[in-house]
Amino acid sequence: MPLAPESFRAIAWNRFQVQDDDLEVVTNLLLEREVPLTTAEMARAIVERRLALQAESVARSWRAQAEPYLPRGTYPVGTLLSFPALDGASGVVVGARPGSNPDLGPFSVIQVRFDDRHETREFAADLADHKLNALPADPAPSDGEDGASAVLRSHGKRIEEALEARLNETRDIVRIAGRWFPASLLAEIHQGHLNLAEAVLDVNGGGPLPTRELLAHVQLPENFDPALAQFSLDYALQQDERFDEVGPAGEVLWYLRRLEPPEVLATPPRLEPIPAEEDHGAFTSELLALEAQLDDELSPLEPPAEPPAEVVLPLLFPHWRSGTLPLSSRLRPLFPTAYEAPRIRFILVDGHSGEKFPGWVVRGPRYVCGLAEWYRRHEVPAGGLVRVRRGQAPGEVIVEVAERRRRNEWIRTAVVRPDGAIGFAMSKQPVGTSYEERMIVGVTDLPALDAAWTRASQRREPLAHLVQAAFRENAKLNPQSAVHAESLYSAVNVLVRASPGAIFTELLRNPSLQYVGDLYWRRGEAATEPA
Amino acid sequence: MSEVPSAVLLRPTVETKFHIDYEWWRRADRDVEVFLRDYLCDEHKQALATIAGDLLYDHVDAETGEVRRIGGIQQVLMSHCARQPGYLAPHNSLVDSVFRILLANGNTPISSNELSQRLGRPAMTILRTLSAPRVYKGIRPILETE
Repeated sequence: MPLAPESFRAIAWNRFQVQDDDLEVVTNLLLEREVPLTTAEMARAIVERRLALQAESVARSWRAQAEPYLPRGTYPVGTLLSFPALDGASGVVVGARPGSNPDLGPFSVIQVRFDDRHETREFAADLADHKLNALPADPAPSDGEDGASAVLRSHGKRIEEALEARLNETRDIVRIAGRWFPASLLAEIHQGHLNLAEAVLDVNGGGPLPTRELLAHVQLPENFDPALAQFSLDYALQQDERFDEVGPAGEVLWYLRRLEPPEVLATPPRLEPIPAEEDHGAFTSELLALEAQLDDELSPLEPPAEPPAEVVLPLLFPHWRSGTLPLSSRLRPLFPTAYEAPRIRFILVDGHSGEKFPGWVVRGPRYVCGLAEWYRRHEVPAGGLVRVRRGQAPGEVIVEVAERRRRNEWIRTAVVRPDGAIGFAMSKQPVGTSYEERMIVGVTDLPALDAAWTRASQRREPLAHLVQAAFRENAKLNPQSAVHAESLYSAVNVLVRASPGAIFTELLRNPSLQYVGDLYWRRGEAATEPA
Repeated sequence: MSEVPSAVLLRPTVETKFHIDYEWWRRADRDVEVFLRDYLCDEHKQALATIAGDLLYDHVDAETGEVRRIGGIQQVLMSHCARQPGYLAPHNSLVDSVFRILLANGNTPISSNELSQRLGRPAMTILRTLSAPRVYKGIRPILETE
């Protein structure tokens, strides 16, 4: 059986984990090349080495005359078998018995002892109908593609993630902007160099500036390779709290942290989610579909397979109040990202006037800030529709309101009750954009609303109580007294920041709320079970 | 080669395979065979008396050929009940659907990505649910070292 040429298929790449020998390969590669390398370059070296080892192992197995295991085979006690489906492990048949399964007909069960694992496991034998009896069906390399490329095409992401996780634990190899290098080989950057860099950024309004502009003022010994000098300065700046790397992936830009806007350095309080349990296991398909449609940055959603050309979203109240956009699964591909920089400065473009203004992607808490003034200027309400698309120039993002037309409408409005609690009522409000009916929240007295929110007495209540209170308030706003899950989600988020998953979990757990169809719930007597 | 496992490296991903951990059932002092009766089709619920509870069958793994011994009710579930229309229904909760798929596949480990294709639900939602601190119906990740 031509096992050796198929050897790469036997490695469990989908369970890849970095071993100490892999780190040695990476270290040797960096020392040999003497330039910083990307994770992908190092992953390829590891895969090539693993494939070479596997080929050697299979060759040894052939030399030892281990027979490849096939379920259709008959194996007397004492037969040495190799198991391609178990990473090429080999073992000796130590026993056999008749198999018992009316669906499979007569077959045997052999006991195999694996020397290296000191264990005995059972396998089928004399079994004609099993897919292992056919040749391996794994995808082969495409024309002109080597084995390592085929592995990286299918499993590269996982291998790179595992490698990065392991490298992040080591102190010997350091990373900046997606490239790695041994710390011991970096150029020495002293305090004087860093003070000069700070002064250069200071006179440039804090930044952003690329490393090469800083290097022009920070004079390093001339015998250093320019790429290594740049990497060394980048690393020293990264280690110093005064500096913040704010460039998108592939570009290193430096900013003075003390001159960054406050909403970049600390998450606006309205965006801080309360701790809450999410029980997705209890959700129906309809609720899961609504959660996906809402595209909340707190939801565990995967990015779309194809990055969208543009996204139109209704603005959730906490983002409206904070002047931010969510870095949600659909919006994320439209904004610049970075290998490790937690904050990225970029340019927002007003799609109506063409005016440009700075925006910041804050990756950890998943928001984009810098839009407060823009929301005010266009009278965008909470629930108003905002269109986001990529700009013409790299790193620019265009924002527009979906339909610019000032009108007065009867809309749901957040009000402060005499007891200080935040509630809801219908009132006629000016609106500057089209909006999502179930998401809109007007405000008549913003200072009073902010004061009530800041007093925080309501915010300290359990989410279950807040869901109940928001439900009661919203049920009063329509004659049917029914509340849609989306309306409830937007209303609760006026009181606290909570994910759709957390709110829907409390909605389903509340015994006083009953499902009446089409994602509407009502208090008291109700019609049907959740769909 | 020495391996240094770490919490970071062993965190489940959408490619991590999940299975029903029968040890979990034993540790929880729950009889999985009794629990599985709820998953039998009407025909076999009626005929349950004829199934010997202590009879064991050999289940052959579809990928590796490895044999695992399973109880009589599981054998009936896999060979008949799981193949009936309505076994996997849209109104099943996510966890219940995953449990049913694993039962039907003879507990062949399956990843969140693969489950996503079967169930039409986001892989991350499935992963978050199955990786939660609370173990649902003994469904646990396989986080073995190479």
